[in-house]
Amino acid sequence: MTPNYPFNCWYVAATSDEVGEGLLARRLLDRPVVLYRRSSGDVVAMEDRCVHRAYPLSEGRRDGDRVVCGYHGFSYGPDGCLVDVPSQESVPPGARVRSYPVHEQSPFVWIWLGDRRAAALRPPPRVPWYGDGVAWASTTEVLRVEANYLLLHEHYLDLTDVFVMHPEAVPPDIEILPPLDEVEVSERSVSYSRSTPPSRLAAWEAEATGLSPDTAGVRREEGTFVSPALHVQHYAIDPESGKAYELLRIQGFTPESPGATHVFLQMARNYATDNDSAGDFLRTMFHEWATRDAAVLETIQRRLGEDTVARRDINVKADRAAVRARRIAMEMVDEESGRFTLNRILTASG
Amino acid sequence: MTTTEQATRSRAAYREVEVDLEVRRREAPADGVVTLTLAAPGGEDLPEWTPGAHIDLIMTPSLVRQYSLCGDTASRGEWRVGILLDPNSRGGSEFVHDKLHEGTTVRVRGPRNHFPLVSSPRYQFIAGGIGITPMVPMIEAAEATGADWRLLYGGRARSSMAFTGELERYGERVTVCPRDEQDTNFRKSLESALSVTDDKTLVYCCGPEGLLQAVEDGCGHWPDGSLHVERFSAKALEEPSPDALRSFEVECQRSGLTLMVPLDKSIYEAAEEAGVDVLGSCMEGVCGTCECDVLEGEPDHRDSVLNDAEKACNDTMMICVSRSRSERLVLDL
Repeated sequence: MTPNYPFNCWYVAATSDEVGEGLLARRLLDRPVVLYRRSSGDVVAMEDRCVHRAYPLSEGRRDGDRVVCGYHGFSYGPDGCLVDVPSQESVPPGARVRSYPVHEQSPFVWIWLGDRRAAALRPPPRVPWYGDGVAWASTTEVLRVEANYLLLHEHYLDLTDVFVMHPEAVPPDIEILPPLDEVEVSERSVSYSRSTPPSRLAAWEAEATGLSPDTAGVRREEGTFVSPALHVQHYAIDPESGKAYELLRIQGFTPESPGATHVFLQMARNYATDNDSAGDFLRTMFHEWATRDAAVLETIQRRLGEDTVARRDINVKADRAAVRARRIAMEMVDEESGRFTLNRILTASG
Repeated sequence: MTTTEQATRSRAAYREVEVDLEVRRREAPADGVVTLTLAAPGGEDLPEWTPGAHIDLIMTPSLVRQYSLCGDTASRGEWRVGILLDPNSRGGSEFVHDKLHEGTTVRVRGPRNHFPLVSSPRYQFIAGGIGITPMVPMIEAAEATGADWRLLYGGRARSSMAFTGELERYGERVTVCPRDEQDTNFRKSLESALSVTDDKTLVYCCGPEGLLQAVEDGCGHWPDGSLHVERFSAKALEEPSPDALRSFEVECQRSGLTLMVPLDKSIYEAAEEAGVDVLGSCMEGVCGTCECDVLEGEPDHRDSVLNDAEKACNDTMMICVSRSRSERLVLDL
């Protein structure tokens, strides 16, 4: 399977709390990476492979801000430069492992694995969807799904599966999911929105918000493909009176390889913010939800892997945000691979 | 970048991002040229874009103009456009001149990109007049990634050519050829830039029609796909074309059948009725399921799946909604 993800893109490498004093090994875009936090607090990311005998540096140990290989004791500085070879006095000049630009914006640590020089042209997406976050409470989770990252994007850009896969989560007065109101696009992003007729609350909504199950309100749902690395979903319950109860699921999708994806989830809510049990309830519920979805996507990935010739599957109207997102990702792949896919000549108007 | 008299109509299936932006700065980098720096009044981030992208300025519902973004791709809060104040303007530059002062607000749609910078070790950029605007971020990207690049920049007079000051720092990479200066000759420089073909170089050109013609002719012996051009006036391809035929013939090559497609039927329907094995789903040109290879003929694209460049290539079409501009289409059906 050839990679269908762009390298010149910021991806989430880890959540902030995963990176500490220890050496965190993680395969990202099919490259071995080791992450750790320097004494200054800054995160370091470098290739997880000693330049001497290809042993993973993550199997070694820290020595201050340095990493010492667990095989022959070669030491590397945080910039990836080889600084010590125990068996000889001199260090081979210029020997280094590749280090990667990182940018921490809690709760995510972003990494750039593409052309290093292009990193400055595209800053990582900011995650400002809940303003300064003061009136919000959030939880994070890391999952791994054995499916291509585009299957995850497509899944979250078309939630019409909910009626089939999670019927208990559908508000009781909603019998069919209304069509998408709007799919909004720009050069690099796709966003859909939909609103439903008023409904009483599903059991999970009442439990999480603390509202009476008879509370009626419309639901506003938005999903955004921010980049190949990031999906943001916004779900609001708008009661007839009072404030909206908003839930955000901000998900970093980072290919581990063409066949598997790391999912970094931040879930934030603007209600029950000082109620930990509401947070625990939502976390457990969406964990079970995501696990069920992951099992389906993994099964699909295996079935796709059985195809010996490329097959075209059918899309429907509800897929139009997903269709567009896939195109954006593939255009990015083509542009950076320098493939002459198209001579994009516009026709002159008369 | 300018023009198209009418608004590029929002597609039914997709709506482009539209925001009201404030003119933060208005500058005059050359005679008859202004740059506007636009930002959200509340300072929010603007959508991401890449070199070659353009936006619509929606001046009035019937007065919409496209301008290439010429600022810094890494600046999330601001967009910059360069605008030629054309004395023979059909309204756009007059509006910019009279109305778009610092502190005023204008509705903006996009960005979109029909002129993307494909990764390459070498670039030859060629700009004529205000066609320099998309080249500015392209040059920054080429410079940042260490590509080997050259710019040939022609114009009427040095004083009318924007960004020559910014470009000075690149030294010999940049050749500026004002027509009124005796010691430069744009045509000769162009000939020499394109004389030797190179399969590692991409040529990007934006400028008036005469320049594009000359560059297209000059690249005739270059490998396919080397030349990328952007014209000042782009056709809104999603509009049904006046060239679209009411009825036309479709040869389904694999099935060996030839069908007539009348006004009241789609290609998809005509093929299905004739027993041709076709695959379709949304019937609105949004899902891409019925995409079909075009072997001969010129389709009239009406879908929302293909981008304008792909439509212009005419090598594939959505047969549920798209029709034909040629009497006969040969499809891989």
